[in-house]
Amino acid sequence: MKRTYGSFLFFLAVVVLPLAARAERIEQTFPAERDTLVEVRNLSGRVSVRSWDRPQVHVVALRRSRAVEVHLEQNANQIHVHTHLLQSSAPASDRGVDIEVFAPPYADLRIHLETGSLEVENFTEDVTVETVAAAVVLRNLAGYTSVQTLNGSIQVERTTGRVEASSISGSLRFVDMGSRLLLAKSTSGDIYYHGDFFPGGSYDFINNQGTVELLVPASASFELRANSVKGEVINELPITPHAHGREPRSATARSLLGTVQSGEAMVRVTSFSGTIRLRKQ
Amino acid sequence: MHCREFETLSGALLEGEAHPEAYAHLASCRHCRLVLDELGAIERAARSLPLHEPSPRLWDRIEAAAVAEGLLPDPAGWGWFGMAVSWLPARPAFAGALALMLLLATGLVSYPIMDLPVAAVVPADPIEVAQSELVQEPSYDSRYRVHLDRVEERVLDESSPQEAEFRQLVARPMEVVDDAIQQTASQLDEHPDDSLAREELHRLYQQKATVLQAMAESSWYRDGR
Repeated sequence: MKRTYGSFLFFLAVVVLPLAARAERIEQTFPAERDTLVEVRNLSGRVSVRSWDRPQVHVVALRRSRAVEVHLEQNANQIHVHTHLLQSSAPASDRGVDIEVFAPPYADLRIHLETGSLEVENFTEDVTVETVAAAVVLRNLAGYTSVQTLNGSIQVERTTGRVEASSISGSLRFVDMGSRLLLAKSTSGDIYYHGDFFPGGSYDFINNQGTVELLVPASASFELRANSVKGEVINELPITPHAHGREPRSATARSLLGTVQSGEAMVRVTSFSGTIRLRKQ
Repeated sequence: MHCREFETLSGALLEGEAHPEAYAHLASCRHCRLVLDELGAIERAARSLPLHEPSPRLWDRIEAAAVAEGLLPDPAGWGWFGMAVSWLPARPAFAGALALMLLLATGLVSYPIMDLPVAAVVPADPIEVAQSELVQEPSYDSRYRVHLDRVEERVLDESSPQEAEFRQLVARPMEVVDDAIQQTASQLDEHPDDSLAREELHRLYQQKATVLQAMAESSWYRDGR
């Protein structure tokens, strides 16, 4: 028994206490008027930004080691949540800072994250996201949303404002969208759009390789311009084809131009060697 | 420089004027790059539209409509003097609008293809050079590639051992973009008139510039940034 107790103390002293000492929770609350900008710059970790009904921004940061520092600052209507790497030789597992931000829905957000994951929910103003390899999930956004990653995936759900999403090697997924302006670009990632197109809306899907799949309700009404230079266009929707007119020309392209229902939205899909697939829900 | 100040210079930039402070802003502001790029695309598209010579009957109909509306005096009762002055409109506002329209039309038709020597307009930073070339240079597909290669060389040369880790992070997207550029350029070599491939190549160069810019700005790997 004595030996077991001793082992427990040893474990506590050698493993748990140093870990606990290295990890640190930092928490701060700032007043937030209208036109507040929240800027988050983090090297690595899980970041979540959610709205709440208080006129304040509340930040909780959990750093995994002393190799990184967390810097929280308010400058007029700008609130900065920055992490800095203090020891560049620190292993990747020590560089992470998990950050939770609660902000009023009217806050503008600017988020830069290299690796890890990001979730943003329920904001009405502009949201700008840049990541290198972090996966991004955005939900219920009503302002202008711009999200760009090099190697991360992007999922956008139930947004109503203008959306521009771009990834080089990550996939893009749009679910139950209410946006009338959408620009989705990827180079090798697949692009999925599940939902309706709204009257007067303009939707652009561009990739180089991979699949572009549009899964739309039977009632969807839009003009379609689908071109794949070296891939194919597969359509399961009833469409009234158009002549090509002044469309960009390609000697090898498979194209489908036409009107679905009464053509109330404009949908342009372009791929270099990928497959464009239009499916009915 | 703020975005609003940049907006006021965007037209001048598209006309080939050199504004180093605007280039610096452009290099750091994705929004303004996008706006300028879109403006450039519109301008290029407008220049590539075919010119149509309207038939003489169209001018006759416009003139008749203008006379009927009282915007132009009826040239029939003016004899030779009337014919001479019939081009002068009765209303100054109409005259102004007509003059503006003619000016714009003349400008659009005679707009010079901007083939400015690179050294004359570029600031020192190769990323800024590449960005400005993208919107100014119609034959971007060869010259932009040269600039991107220079940028890549410089970024790789200047990066520290710590930044090698960042390079590993961006290795995959870089490989993807390079591969896509190669395939798209090859299609364009075989089919030089393939405007879809040309547009895609343009987009891929932008993506490569984005990757290089991210590499150039990977300042997190410097201690105590």
